Amino acid sequence: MEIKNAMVALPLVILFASCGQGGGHGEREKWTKAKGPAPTYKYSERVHSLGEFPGVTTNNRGIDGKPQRIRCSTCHKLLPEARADGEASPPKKFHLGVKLAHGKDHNCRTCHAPPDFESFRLSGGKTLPYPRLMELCGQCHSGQLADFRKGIHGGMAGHWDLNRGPRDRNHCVDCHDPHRPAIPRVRPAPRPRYRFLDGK
Amino acid sequence: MADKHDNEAGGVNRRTLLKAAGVAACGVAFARALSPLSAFSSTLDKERLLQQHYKELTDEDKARIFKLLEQRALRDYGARVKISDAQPQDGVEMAYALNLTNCLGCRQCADACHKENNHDRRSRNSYIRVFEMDQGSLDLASGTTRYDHPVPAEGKFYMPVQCHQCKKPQCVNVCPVKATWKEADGPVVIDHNWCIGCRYCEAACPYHARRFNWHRPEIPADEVNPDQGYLSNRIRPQSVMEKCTFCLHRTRAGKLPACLEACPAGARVFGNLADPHSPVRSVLAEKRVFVLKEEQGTVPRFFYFFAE
Repeated sequence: MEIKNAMVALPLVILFASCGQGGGHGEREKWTKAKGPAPTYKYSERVHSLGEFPGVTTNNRGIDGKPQRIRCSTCHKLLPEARADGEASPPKKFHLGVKLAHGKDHNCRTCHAPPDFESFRLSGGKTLPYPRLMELCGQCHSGQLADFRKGIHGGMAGHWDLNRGPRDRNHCVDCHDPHRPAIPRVRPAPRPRYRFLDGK
Repeated sequence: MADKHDNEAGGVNRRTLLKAAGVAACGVAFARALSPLSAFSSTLDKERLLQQHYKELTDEDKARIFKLLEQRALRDYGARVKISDAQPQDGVEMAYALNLTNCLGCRQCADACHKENNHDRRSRNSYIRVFEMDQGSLDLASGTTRYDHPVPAEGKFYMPVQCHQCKKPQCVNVCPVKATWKEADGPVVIDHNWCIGCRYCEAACPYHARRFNWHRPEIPADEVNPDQGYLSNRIRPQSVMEKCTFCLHRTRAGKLPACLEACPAGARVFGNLADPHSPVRSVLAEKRVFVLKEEQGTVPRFFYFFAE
Protein backbone atom coordinates (compact mmCIF):
# COMPACT_ATOMS: atom_id res chain seq x y z
CA MET A 1 0.00 0.00 0.00
CA GLU A 2 2.75 2.40 0.98
CA ILE A 3 4.71 1.52 -2.13
CA LYS A 4 1.61 2.23 -4.22
CA ASN A 5 1.22 5.66 -2.62
CA ALA A 6 4.83 6.40 -3.26
CA MET A 7 4.45 5.44 -6.92
CA VAL A 8 1.55 7.87 -7.29
CA ALA A 9 3.31 10.59 -5.37
CA LEU A 10 6.62 10.40 -7.23
CA PRO A 11 5.41 11.56 -10.66
CA LEU A 12 3.43 14.33 -8.94
CA VAL A 13 6.54 15.52 -7.10
CA ILE A 14 8.51 15.53 -10.35
CA LEU A 15 5.69 17.40 -12.09
CA PHE A 16 5.55 20.12 -9.42
CA ALA A 17 9.32 20.43 -9.30
CA SER A 18 9.54 20.89 -13.06
CA CYS A 19 6.76 23.52 -12.93
CA GLY A 20 8.78 25.48 -10.43
CA GLN A 21 11.82 25.49 -12.66
CA GLY A 22 10.02 26.29 -15.88
CA GLY A 23 10.53 29.68 -17.40
CA GLY A 24 7.91 32.31 -17.97
CA HIS A 25 5.98 34.01 -15.24
CA GLY A 26 6.83 33.30 -11.66
CA GLU A 27 10.49 32.56 -12.33
CA ARG A 28 12.52 33.69 -9.34
CA GLU A 29 16.24 33.27 -9.14
CA LYS A 30 18.12 32.52 -5.94
CA TRP A 31 21.38 34.30 -5.21
CA THR A 32 23.53 32.82 -2.48
CA LYS A 33 26.36 34.37 -0.51
CA ALA A 34 29.86 33.96 -1.87
CA LYS A 35 31.81 31.10 -0.33
CA GLY A 36 35.54 31.10 0.27
CA PRO A 37 37.95 34.01 0.18
CA ALA A 38 37.65 36.71 -2.45
CA PRO A 39 39.90 36.16 -5.45
CA THR A 40 42.93 38.35 -5.94
CA TYR A 41 42.74 40.87 -8.77
CA LYS A 42 45.46 42.52 -10.81
CA TYR A 43 44.45 45.99 -9.61
CA SER A 44 43.10 47.17 -6.29
CA GLU A 45 40.69 49.63 -4.79
CA ARG A 46 42.11 52.96 -3.69
CA VAL A 47 40.22 54.77 -0.97
CA HIS A 48 40.44 58.53 -1.32
CA SER A 49 42.94 59.51 1.35
CA LEU A 50 42.61 62.23 3.95
CA GLY A 51 45.13 65.06 4.01
CA GLU A 52 48.78 64.13 4.57
CA PHE A 53 48.60 65.06 8.22
CA PRO A 54 45.87 65.96 10.69
CA GLY A 55 45.18 69.67 10.62
CA VAL A 56 42.98 72.51 9.49
CA THR A 57 42.99 74.53 6.29
CA THR A 58 43.71 78.21 6.81
CA ASN A 59 43.04 81.38 4.84
CA ASN A 60 46.77 81.83 4.17
CA ARG A 61 48.00 80.76 0.77
CA GLY A 62 51.37 79.10 0.26
CA ILE A 63 53.84 79.71 -2.56
CA ASP A 64 51.86 77.25 -4.71
CA GLY A 65 48.78 79.49 -4.36
CA LYS A 66 46.83 76.82 -2.47
CA PRO A 67 45.38 77.39 1.00
CA GLN A 68 47.85 76.28 3.62
CA ARG A 69 47.10 73.48 5.99
CA ILE A 70 48.57 73.53 9.48
CA ARG A 71 48.93 70.67 11.92
CA CYS A 72 46.62 70.41 14.92
CA SER A 73 49.63 70.28 17.22
CA THR A 74 50.84 73.65 15.92
CA CYS A 75 48.35 75.33 18.23
CA HIS A 76 47.19 72.61 20.56
CA LYS A 77 50.70 71.87 21.82
CA LEU A 78 52.21 75.32 21.90
CA LEU A 79 49.60 77.96 22.60
CA PRO A 80 48.17 77.80 26.09
CA GLU A 81 45.21 79.83 24.88
CA ALA A 82 44.36 77.24 22.23
CA ARG A 83 44.77 74.46 24.73
CA ALA A 84 42.40 76.17 27.10
CA ASP A 85 39.94 76.72 24.30
CA GLY A 86 40.27 73.05 23.40
CA GLU A 87 38.86 72.25 26.81
CA ALA A 88 35.73 74.22 25.99
CA SER A 89 32.94 72.62 24.04
CA PRO A 90 31.85 74.21 21.78
CA PRO A 91 35.09 76.18 21.20
CA LYS A 92 34.74 79.93 21.61
CA LYS A 93 37.85 81.38 19.96
CA PHE A 94 38.89 78.79 17.38
CA HIS A 95 37.17 76.45 14.94
CA LEU A 96 34.24 78.84 14.86
CA GLY A 97 33.02 77.38 11.56
CA VAL A 98 32.33 74.04 13.20
CA LYS A 99 28.70 73.69 14.24
CA LEU A 100 28.28 70.23 15.62
CA ALA A 101 25.07 68.51 14.48
CA HIS A 102 25.99 64.84 14.70
CA GLY A 103 24.13 62.52 17.03
CA LYS A 104 23.32 63.53 20.60
CA ASP A 105 25.47 64.72 23.50
CA HIS A 106 28.71 64.70 21.56
CA ASN A 107 31.57 67.14 22.03
CA CYS A 108 35.05 67.52 20.51
CA ARG A 109 36.54 64.82 22.70
CA THR A 110 34.02 62.19 21.65
CA CYS A 111 36.09 61.75 18.50
CA HIS A 112 39.26 63.89 18.84
CA ALA A 113 41.88 62.66 21.30
CA PRO A 114 43.61 65.16 23.62
CA PRO A 115 46.16 66.45 24.30
CA ASP A 116 47.40 67.27 20.79
CA PHE A 117 44.18 66.30 18.94
CA GLU A 118 46.17 64.63 16.16
CA SER A 119 44.57 61.25 16.58
CA PHE A 120 41.07 59.97 17.19
CA ARG A 121 39.47 58.61 20.30
CA LEU A 122 37.45 55.40 20.23
CA SER A 123 34.45 55.03 22.53
CA GLY A 124 36.48 52.84 24.91
CA GLY A 125 39.06 55.61 25.34
CA LYS A 126 41.79 54.09 23.16
CA THR A 127 43.36 56.32 20.56
CA LEU A 128 43.23 55.59 16.84
CA PRO A 129 45.88 56.90 14.44
CA TYR A 130 44.73 59.61 12.08
CA PRO A 131 44.75 57.58 8.78
CA ARG A 132 42.41 54.97 10.30
CA LEU A 133 39.49 57.40 10.64
CA MET A 134 37.08 55.01 8.92
CA GLU A 135 37.22 52.65 11.88
CA LEU A 136 36.12 55.50 14.14
CA CYS A 137 33.04 56.12 11.98
CA GLY A 138 32.42 52.38 11.87
CA GLN A 139 32.12 51.97 15.62
CA CYS A 140 28.64 53.51 15.42
CA HIS A 141 27.87 53.07 11.71
CA SER A 142 28.91 49.44 11.45
CA GLY A 143 26.28 48.61 8.83
CA GLN A 144 27.56 51.30 6.51
CA LEU A 145 31.17 50.24 7.06
CA ALA A 146 30.31 46.62 6.29
CA ASP A 147 28.49 47.73 3.14
CA PHE A 148 31.42 49.93 2.18
CA ARG A 149 33.79 46.98 2.43
CA LYS A 150 31.53 44.95 0.13
CA GLY A 151 31.55 47.80 -2.38
CA ILE A 152 27.85 48.63 -2.01
CA HIS A 153 28.02 51.91 -0.08
CA GLY A 154 29.56 55.14 -1.28
CA GLY A 155 30.46 56.71 -4.57
CA MET A 156 33.23 55.37 -6.75
CA ALA A 157 34.90 55.79 -10.11
CA GLY A 158 37.18 53.76 -12.34
CA HIS A 159 36.80 50.09 -13.18
CA TRP A 160 34.17 47.55 -12.15
CA ASP A 161 36.55 44.86 -13.41
CA LEU A 162 39.60 44.99 -11.15
CA ASN A 163 41.50 42.79 -13.57
CA ARG A 164 41.45 45.61 -16.09
CA GLY A 165 42.03 48.70 -13.95
CA PRO A 166 41.84 50.19 -10.44
CA ARG A 167 38.80 51.62 -8.70
CA ASP A 168 38.70 54.84 -6.68
CA ARG A 169 36.45 54.86 -3.65
CA ASN A 170 35.18 57.83 -1.72
CA HIS A 171 36.07 58.14 1.95
CA CYS A 172 33.20 58.63 4.48
CA VAL A 173 34.14 62.29 4.84
CA ASP A 174 34.08 62.96 1.09
CA CYS A 175 30.28 62.92 1.22
CA HIS A 176 29.42 63.31 4.90
CA ASP A 177 30.68 66.36 6.78
CA PRO A 178 31.77 64.64 10.00
CA HIS A 179 30.45 67.50 12.11
CA ARG A 180 27.17 67.76 10.19
CA PRO A 181 26.69 64.46 8.40
CA ALA A 182 23.17 64.91 7.04
CA ILE A 183 23.23 65.34 3.25
CA PRO A 184 21.96 68.83 2.41
CA ARG A 185 19.16 69.36 -0.07
CA VAL A 186 20.25 70.03 -3.63
CA ARG A 187 18.72 71.54 -6.73
CA PRO A 188 18.26 68.72 -9.28
CA ALA A 189 19.78 68.73 -12.78
CA PRO A 190 17.41 70.02 -15.50
CA ARG A 191 14.52 67.73 -16.28
CA PRO A 192 13.98 66.33 -19.79
CA ARG A 193 11.62 68.09 -22.18
CA TYR A 194 8.85 65.81 -23.32
CA ARG A 195 7.57 66.04 -26.88
CA PHE A 196 3.91 65.72 -25.92
CA LEU A 197 3.83 67.29 -22.47
CA ASP A 198 6.07 70.28 -23.13
CA GLY A 199 5.56 70.84 -26.86
CA LYS A 200 8.32 70.75 -29.43
CA MET B 1 -16.32 78.69 -87.18
CA ALA B 2 -14.07 81.60 -86.48
CA ASP B 3 -12.95 79.95 -83.16
CA LYS B 4 -11.94 76.79 -84.93
CA HIS B 5 -9.96 78.74 -87.41
CA ASP B 6 -8.02 80.50 -84.60
CA ASN B 7 -7.17 77.17 -82.97
CA GLU B 8 -5.78 75.74 -86.11
CA ALA B 9 -3.59 78.77 -86.41
CA GLY B 10 -1.71 77.77 -83.15
CA GLY B 11 -3.24 80.18 -80.54
CA VAL B 12 -3.62 79.10 -76.88
CA ASN B 13 -7.21 78.49 -75.98
CA ARG B 14 -8.65 78.19 -72.47
CA ARG B 15 -8.62 74.38 -72.41
CA THR B 16 -4.89 74.11 -73.13
CA LEU B 17 -4.09 76.79 -70.60
CA LEU B 18 -6.08 75.01 -67.83
CA LYS B 19 -4.45 71.68 -68.67
CA ALA B 20 -0.97 73.18 -68.46
CA ALA B 21 -1.82 74.95 -65.20
CA GLY B 22 -3.17 71.70 -63.78
CA VAL B 23 -0.03 69.77 -64.67
CA ALA B 24 2.15 72.50 -63.20
CA ALA B 25 0.11 72.54 -59.94
CA CYS B 26 0.39 68.75 -59.64
CA GLY B 27 4.12 68.97 -60.18
CA VAL B 28 4.56 71.56 -57.46
CA ALA B 29 2.39 69.61 -55.03
CA PHE B 30 4.36 66.42 -55.72
CA ALA B 31 7.69 68.15 -55.16
CA ARG B 32 6.36 69.66 -51.95
CA ALA B 33 5.14 66.27 -50.74
CA LEU B 34 8.57 64.72 -51.34
CA SER B 35 10.52 67.62 -49.82
CA PRO B 36 10.87 66.01 -46.34
CA LEU B 37 12.96 63.30 -47.98
CA SER B 38 15.69 65.83 -48.73
CA ALA B 39 16.02 66.43 -44.99
CA PHE B 40 16.83 62.73 -44.54
CA SER B 41 19.59 62.75 -47.09
CA SER B 42 22.37 63.27 -44.55
CA THR B 43 21.44 60.13 -42.59
CA LEU B 44 19.51 58.01 -45.08
CA ASP B 45 22.19 57.43 -47.65
CA LYS B 46 23.10 54.68 -50.06
CA GLU B 47 25.72 53.09 -47.79
CA ARG B 48 23.28 52.79 -44.92
CA LEU B 49 20.57 51.33 -47.14
CA LEU B 50 22.87 48.69 -48.63
CA GLN B 51 24.60 47.77 -45.35
CA GLN B 52 24.15 44.28 -43.92
CA HIS B 53 22.92 43.41 -40.42
CA TYR B 54 25.61 43.95 -37.75
CA LYS B 55 25.92 40.23 -37.04
CA GLU B 56 26.71 39.53 -40.70
CA LEU B 57 29.44 42.12 -41.03
CA THR B 58 33.00 40.97 -41.59
CA ASP B 59 35.91 42.77 -39.95
CA GLU B 60 36.63 44.59 -43.23
CA ASP B 61 32.98 45.69 -43.47
CA LYS B 62 33.14 47.00 -39.93
CA ALA B 63 36.37 48.89 -40.52
CA ARG B 64 34.87 50.53 -43.61
CA ILE B 65 31.54 51.39 -41.93
CA PHE B 66 33.13 52.75 -38.75
CA LYS B 67 35.41 54.93 -40.84
CA LEU B 68 32.46 56.18 -42.83
CA LEU B 69 30.53 56.98 -39.64
CA GLU B 70 33.55 58.82 -38.26
CA GLN B 71 33.68 60.90 -41.46
CA ARG B 72 29.95 61.62 -41.17
CA ALA B 73 30.40 62.77 -37.55
CA LEU B 74 33.11 65.16 -38.72
CA ARG B 75 31.02 66.39 -41.65
CA ASP B 76 27.70 66.74 -39.84
CA TYR B 77 28.81 67.59 -36.31
CA GLY B 78 32.35 68.87 -36.72
CA ALA B 79 33.59 66.36 -34.15
CA ARG B 80 36.51 63.93 -34.41
CA VAL B 81 35.26 60.67 -32.94
CA LYS B 82 36.49 57.08 -32.59
CA ILE B 83 33.96 54.32 -33.18
CA SER B 84 34.65 50.81 -31.91
CA ASP B 85 32.77 47.65 -30.99
CA ALA B 86 34.43 45.80 -28.11
CA GLN B 87 33.16 42.23 -27.90
CA PRO B 88 31.66 40.51 -24.81
CA GLN B 89 34.02 38.93 -22.29
CA ASP B 90 33.56 35.30 -21.28
CA GLY B 91 32.12 34.73 -17.82
CA VAL B 92 30.57 38.18 -17.55
CA GLU B 93 26.91 38.99 -17.08
CA MET B 94 26.43 42.67 -16.36
CA ALA B 95 23.91 43.68 -13.72
CA TYR B 96 22.93 46.82 -11.86
CA ALA B 97 21.57 47.45 -8.38
CA LEU B 98 20.19 50.73 -7.07
CA ASN B 99 19.81 51.74 -3.45
CA LEU B 100 16.44 53.48 -3.03
CA THR B 101 17.22 54.52 0.55
CA ASN B 102 20.17 56.62 -0.57
CA CYS B 103 18.90 58.06 -3.86
CA LEU B 104 18.40 61.82 -3.51
CA GLY B 105 16.57 62.43 -6.78
CA CYS B 106 19.22 64.92 -7.95
CA ARG B 107 19.15 63.64 -11.57
CA GLN B 108 22.95 63.70 -11.83
CA CYS B 109 22.74 60.19 -13.33
CA ALA B 110 20.34 61.34 -16.04
CA ASP B 111 22.54 64.34 -16.77
CA ALA B 112 25.68 62.18 -17.03
CA CYS B 113 23.81 59.80 -19.37
CA HIS B 114 22.72 62.75 -21.50
CA LYS B 115 26.34 63.80 -22.03
CA GLU B 116 27.99 60.38 -22.21
CA ASN B 117 25.56 58.96 -24.75
CA ASN B 118 25.47 61.94 -27.15
CA HIS B 119 21.81 62.70 -26.60
CA ASP B 120 19.90 65.41 -28.39
CA ARG B 121 20.50 68.66 -26.49
CA ARG B 122 17.16 70.19 -27.47
CA SER B 123 15.04 67.50 -25.80
CA ARG B 124 17.52 67.01 -22.91
CA ASN B 125 16.98 63.33 -23.56
CA SER B 126 18.46 60.68 -21.31
CA TYR B 127 18.04 56.93 -20.88
CA ILE B 128 17.23 57.51 -17.21
CA ARG B 129 13.97 58.88 -15.84
CA VAL B 130 13.84 59.70 -12.13
CA PHE B 131 10.41 59.25 -10.60
CA GLU B 132 9.38 61.22 -7.53
CA MET B 133 6.83 59.22 -5.55
CA ASP B 134 5.06 59.36 -2.21
CA GLN B 135 6.78 57.38 0.52
CA GLY B 136 5.01 54.09 1.09
CA SER B 137 3.74 53.88 -2.48
CA LEU B 138 5.11 52.17 -5.56
CA ASP B 139 2.47 53.50 -7.91
CA LEU B 140 4.40 54.84 -10.89
CA ALA B 141 1.25 56.40 -12.32
CA SER B 142 0.98 58.78 -9.36
CA GLY B 143 4.69 59.62 -9.53
CA THR B 144 6.20 62.38 -11.60
CA THR B 145 9.46 62.83 -13.50
CA ARG B 146 8.89 66.57 -14.02
CA TYR B 147 9.67 67.84 -10.49
CA ASP B 148 11.92 70.87 -10.28
CA HIS B 149 12.36 71.75 -6.61
CA PRO B 150 15.17 71.08 -4.12
CA VAL B 151 15.48 67.38 -3.35
CA PRO B 152 14.88 65.21 -1.45
CA ALA B 153 11.45 66.73 -0.73
CA GLU B 154 9.56 65.94 2.48
CA GLY B 155 7.58 62.68 2.30
CA LYS B 156 8.92 61.70 -1.13
CA PHE B 157 11.30 59.08 -2.42
CA TYR B 158 13.06 58.85 -5.78
CA MET B 159 13.31 55.98 -8.19
CA PRO B 160 15.48 56.19 -11.30
CA VAL B 161 14.22 53.93 -14.09
CA GLN B 162 16.30 52.91 -17.10
CA CYS B 163 16.64 49.83 -19.30
CA HIS B 164 16.54 46.70 -17.15
CA GLN B 165 18.47 44.62 -19.72
CA CYS B 166 15.92 41.83 -19.12
CA LYS B 167 16.80 38.18 -19.40
CA LYS B 168 13.53 37.78 -21.33
CA PRO B 169 13.30 41.06 -23.25
CA GLN B 170 9.87 41.70 -24.77
CA CYS B 171 11.32 44.44 -26.96
CA VAL B 172 13.51 41.88 -28.73
CA ASN B 173 10.58 39.51 -29.31
CA VAL B 174 8.48 42.11 -31.12
CA CYS B 175 11.11 43.55 -33.47
CA PRO B 176 9.99 42.67 -37.01
CA VAL B 177 13.48 43.00 -38.51
CA LYS B 178 15.65 41.62 -35.68
CA ALA B 179 17.43 44.96 -35.33
CA THR B 180 17.64 44.47 -31.54
CA TRP B 181 18.98 41.53 -29.55
CA LYS B 182 20.47 40.52 -26.21
CA GLU B 183 24.25 40.33 -26.10
CA ALA B 184 26.11 37.44 -24.44
CA ASP B 185 27.22 39.64 -21.53
CA GLY B 186 23.74 40.96 -20.80
CA PRO B 187 22.88 44.28 -22.41
CA VAL B 188 20.15 44.51 -25.04
CA VAL B 189 21.48 46.45 -28.03
CA ILE B 190 20.20 47.96 -31.28
CA ASP B 191 21.84 48.03 -34.71
CA HIS B 192 20.87 51.64 -35.43
CA ASN B 193 21.60 51.16 -39.12
CA TRP B 194 19.24 48.19 -39.37
CA CYS B 195 16.36 49.63 -37.32
CA ILE B 196 13.35 50.73 -39.38
CA GLY B 197 11.90 52.94 -36.63
CA CYS B 198 8.53 51.15 -36.31
CA ARG B 199 8.54 51.72 -32.51
CA TYR B 200 7.07 48.27 -31.73
CA CYS B 201 9.81 47.78 -29.13
CA GLU B 202 8.93 51.07 -27.45
CA ALA B 203 5.36 49.84 -27.06
CA ALA B 204 6.44 46.41 -25.82
CA CYS B 205 8.78 47.60 -23.06
CA PRO B 206 7.02 47.76 -19.68
CA TYR B 207 9.66 50.21 -18.37
CA HIS B 208 9.48 52.73 -21.23
CA ALA B 209 13.23 52.32 -21.60
CA ARG B 210 13.33 52.92 -25.34
CA ARG B 211 13.26 56.28 -27.08
CA PHE B 212 12.61 57.32 -30.65
CA ASN B 213 14.73 59.90 -32.49
CA TRP B 214 12.06 62.28 -33.73
CA HIS B 215 14.70 64.73 -34.89
CA ARG B 216 18.27 64.54 -36.04
CA PRO B 217 20.09 64.89 -32.68
CA GLU B 218 21.54 68.35 -32.09
CA ILE B 219 24.88 68.40 -30.26
CA PRO B 220 27.49 71.19 -30.30
CA ALA B 221 30.85 69.96 -31.67
CA ASP B 222 32.72 70.49 -28.42
CA GLU B 223 30.14 68.50 -26.44
CA VAL B 224 30.21 65.34 -28.59
CA ASN B 225 31.67 62.43 -26.63
CA PRO B 226 34.38 61.10 -28.97
CA ASP B 227 34.62 57.65 -27.31
CA GLN B 228 31.83 55.94 -29.22
CA GLY B 229 30.55 52.39 -29.55
CA TYR B 230 28.80 51.22 -32.71
CA LEU B 231 26.10 49.53 -30.62
CA SER B 232 25.96 52.09 -27.83
CA ASN B 233 26.57 55.83 -27.81
CA ARG B 234 27.43 56.83 -31.37
CA ILE B 235 25.23 59.67 -32.60
CA ARG B 236 22.04 58.02 -33.75
CA PRO B 237 20.44 58.84 -37.12
CA GLN B 238 16.98 60.36 -37.24
CA SER B 239 13.93 58.04 -37.02
CA VAL B 240 15.56 55.07 -35.28
CA MET B 241 15.18 53.72 -31.74
CA GLU B 242 17.78 54.14 -29.02
CA LYS B 243 18.24 52.71 -25.54
CA CYS B 244 20.53 52.30 -22.52
CA THR B 245 23.24 49.69 -23.06
CA PHE B 246 24.88 49.96 -19.60
CA CYS B 247 27.42 52.21 -21.41
CA LEU B 248 28.76 49.28 -23.43
CA HIS B 249 31.71 51.30 -24.77
CA ARG B 250 32.84 51.83 -21.15
CA THR B 251 31.77 48.63 -19.40
CA ARG B 252 33.33 46.34 -22.03
CA ALA B 253 36.60 48.13 -21.30
CA GLY B 254 36.10 47.22 -17.63
CA LYS B 255 35.03 50.75 -16.64
CA LEU B 256 32.01 51.71 -14.56
CA PRO B 257 28.95 53.18 -16.33
CA ALA B 258 28.74 56.99 -16.50
CA CYS B 259 25.57 57.16 -14.37
CA LEU B 260 27.29 55.32 -11.52
CA GLU B 261 30.33 57.59 -11.49
CA ALA B 262 28.06 60.63 -11.46
CA CYS B 263 25.93 59.50 -8.50
CA PRO B 264 26.78 61.75 -5.52
CA ALA B 265 24.84 59.51 -3.13
CA GLY B 266 26.70 56.31 -3.98
CA ALA B 267 23.32 54.71 -4.57
CA ARG B 268 24.39 52.74 -7.63
CA VAL B 269 26.13 49.36 -7.73
CA PHE B 270 27.35 47.73 -10.92
CA GLY B 271 29.10 44.44 -11.45
CA ASN B 272 29.34 40.94 -12.78
CA LEU B 273 26.41 38.73 -11.82
CA ALA B 274 28.42 35.63 -12.71
CA ASP B 275 31.06 36.47 -10.08
CA PRO B 276 29.79 35.55 -6.58
CA HIS B 277 32.26 38.00 -5.01
CA SER B 278 31.06 41.00 -7.01
CA PRO B 279 29.33 43.86 -5.16
CA VAL B 280 26.12 43.32 -7.06
CA ARG B 281 25.95 39.71 -5.84
CA SER B 282 26.46 40.93 -2.25
CA VAL B 283 23.39 43.10 -2.70
CA LEU B 284 21.33 40.20 -4.04
CA ALA B 285 22.42 37.82 -1.30
CA GLU B 286 22.11 40.17 1.68
CA LYS B 287 19.70 43.05 1.02
CA ARG B 288 15.96 43.47 0.60
CA VAL B 289 15.79 43.43 -3.18
CA PHE B 290 12.95 43.77 -5.65
CA VAL B 291 12.58 44.12 -9.39
CA LEU B 292 10.14 46.48 -11.04
CA LYS B 293 6.99 44.89 -12.51
CA GLU B 294 8.09 41.36 -11.68
CA GLU B 295 4.68 40.11 -12.85
CA GLN B 296 5.62 40.98 -16.44
CA GLY B 297 7.97 37.98 -16.46
CA THR B 298 10.82 39.95 -18.03
CA VAL B 299 13.42 38.85 -15.42
CA PRO B 300 15.30 42.17 -15.21
CA ARG B 301 19.03 42.50 -14.65
CA PHE B 302 18.38 45.75 -12.77
CA PHE B 303 17.59 45.41 -9.07
CA TYR B 304 16.31 47.90 -6.52
CA PHE B 305 17.28 47.52 -2.88
CA PHE B 306 17.04 49.24 0.50
CA ALA B 307 20.02 50.14 2.68
CA GLU B 308 18.99 48.11 5.72
